[in-house]
Amino acid sequence: MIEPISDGKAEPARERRTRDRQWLWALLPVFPLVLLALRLWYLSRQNISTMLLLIQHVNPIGLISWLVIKLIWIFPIGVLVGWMVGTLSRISAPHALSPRLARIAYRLPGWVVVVAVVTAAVTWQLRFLPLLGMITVTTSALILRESGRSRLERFASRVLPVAAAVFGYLWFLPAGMEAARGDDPLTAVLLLLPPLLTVVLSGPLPAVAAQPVTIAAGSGLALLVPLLIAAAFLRAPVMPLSMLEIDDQDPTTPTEVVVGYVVTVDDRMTTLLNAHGAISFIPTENVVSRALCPDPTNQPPISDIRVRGWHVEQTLLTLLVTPGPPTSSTLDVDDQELRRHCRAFNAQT
Amino acid sequence: MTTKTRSAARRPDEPSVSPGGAPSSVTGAASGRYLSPWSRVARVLRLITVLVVLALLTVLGVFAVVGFPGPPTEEELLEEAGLTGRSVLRIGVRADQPGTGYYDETLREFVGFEIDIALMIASDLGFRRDQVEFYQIQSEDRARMQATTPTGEYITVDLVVSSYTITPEREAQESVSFSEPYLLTEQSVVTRRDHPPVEHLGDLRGERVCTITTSTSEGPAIEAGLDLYEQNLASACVAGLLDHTYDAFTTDAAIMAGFVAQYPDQLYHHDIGYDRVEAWGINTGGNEALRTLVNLYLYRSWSDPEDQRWEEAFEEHLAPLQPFNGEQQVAIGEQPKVDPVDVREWP
Repeated sequence: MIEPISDGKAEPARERRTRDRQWLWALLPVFPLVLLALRLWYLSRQNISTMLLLIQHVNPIGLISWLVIKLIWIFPIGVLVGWMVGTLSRISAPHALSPRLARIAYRLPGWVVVVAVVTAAVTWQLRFLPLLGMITVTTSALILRESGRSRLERFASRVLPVAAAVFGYLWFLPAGMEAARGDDPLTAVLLLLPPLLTVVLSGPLPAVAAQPVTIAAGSGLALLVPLLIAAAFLRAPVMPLSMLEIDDQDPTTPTEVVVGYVVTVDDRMTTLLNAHGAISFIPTENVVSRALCPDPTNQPPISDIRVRGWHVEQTLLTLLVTPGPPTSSTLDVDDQELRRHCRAFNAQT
Repeated sequence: MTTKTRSAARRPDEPSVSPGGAPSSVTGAASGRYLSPWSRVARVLRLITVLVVLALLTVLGVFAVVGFPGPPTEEELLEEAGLTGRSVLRIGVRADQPGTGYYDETLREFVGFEIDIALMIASDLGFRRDQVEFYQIQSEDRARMQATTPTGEYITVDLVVSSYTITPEREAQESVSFSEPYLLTEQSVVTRRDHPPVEHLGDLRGERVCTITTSTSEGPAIEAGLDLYEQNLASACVAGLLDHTYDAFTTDAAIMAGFVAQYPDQLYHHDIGYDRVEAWGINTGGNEALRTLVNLYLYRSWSDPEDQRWEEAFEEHLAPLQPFNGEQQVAIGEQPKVDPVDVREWP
């Protein structure tokens, strides 16, 4: 049985501290703005004139939507891992001084968890879905087990993990075995381990270990999530990367190819940001052709394992909305040339 | 979902206790009972499992930041090969061998089977026709990737597509890295038409036999005890044959077939019943990433039934030579099998 984390009387000092921090939530909307400003700062190589020029021409709606698309998959990691470890800790040692993560997990509204699960189901690659199932089922079973009122609920808490594991193996076993045979240990572990762990994890930990594990997990999340955001952030382009073919009207010299972010185009000048953060102005009449570079973050999959026809590195979102063909096996010259030049740009940034 | 309702139900089987199994001193609804040994084992097992899960998540997180391990992408290979941002691809080829690699003075361009193969690879590497520069390369310079410009200067090329037979000895050199083969042929002999039939290399004993410097035909000719003369270019051997400096010319059939077709009334191609396959490969000069890419494009050309570039090159340049070369097969008319290359590709 779970005791209330705080009843408002037992820990007046802590309660006061918590209330005092409420103003911090007001800073939350500032976070994406700070990220965007930092991204433009990084893109302009700390040159304030370049940054101001970029801000002039960058569309905030575009930036926000880019931010959402590139970072949305990270949000469920924090919520779900915190939820699982916090619940586990609270159930293992209900009377111990609860670490912050356990308190947050306890107060986490149900709809936040549901939103996180649905977001993860849609934006995570198929090979991470067994892990998502494991987190969701074990934590739900733990909550049912500890606070289930009827025998049926407590019975369900025991049956649910086993049923989930059986379903998981029915669905993922062939692909997992194929991955294990096909020299792809990571995919094999991701497909085969979570169903087993679902059964094992649905219960309390030794009380003495609950707090250290929760603190370690909380610290790990606090370190990892910003790192993930930063990594996704620095890789993703803010403006469309283009390859321009420039003909300087001199018949003796061949056309020149330049790659960069097209900041703006008017009838006289095309403004381009190159790989070194420098702005160049090209007479628009000299631009013979322009092509969009492929998304550098959209790389071919590593694994060739499929789960009942679904590629393990595909997300449900890409299954529902088929992305445009990034490349094909029989490339025509222009495609490959484009990729070669764009790659040179991405290697320099 | 987390419930905010405090449950009145007590779990009778797994009460909360302090570590070690002793009854907890903390008073509470769940305390006051011993844990069964099985429960204790289960809890420790769970702790290990949680640690495993956290370790797995950490590894995944690190991979998500630095990139998941796996074979390289085509773009990564292009970058590793030093080809990104390059505007010109330099290729060393033959300029004197009709059919395989020949500089046509009237067209003012290189033509031949090997030129088409080189253009196919260049195109897959992302170089347009006008971004490819061909340079003549001589036999002895193929291992060092040194070709000559029209003004006679030496230049280092990116690829050598120059009738270069794959052998372990050649591959042992640091600057030689062969692709998979793009043509299979065999050693044969060409003489003037007035020469008696040649059944095997031994028939040429006592005669002046020309071959190409550093060619694989040298070994069998020396084994057969022939009086061997070496030239850097196949055209020099043919010129010597035509002006009676030499009595015979031995090297790969596909090299000589073009000359026989050029001088059908003067030259004759003998099938000498020598069974060693001469497999020609592209030298990428020790650039392993480039070798992987070349193999990838050869594999795609071999495996894709819609990709007819190899077949068209053969039909245009080598198949028409066969009628002039009698029983001696010019080369095998199918692209040699290429093994799949471990590169990340879209499914």
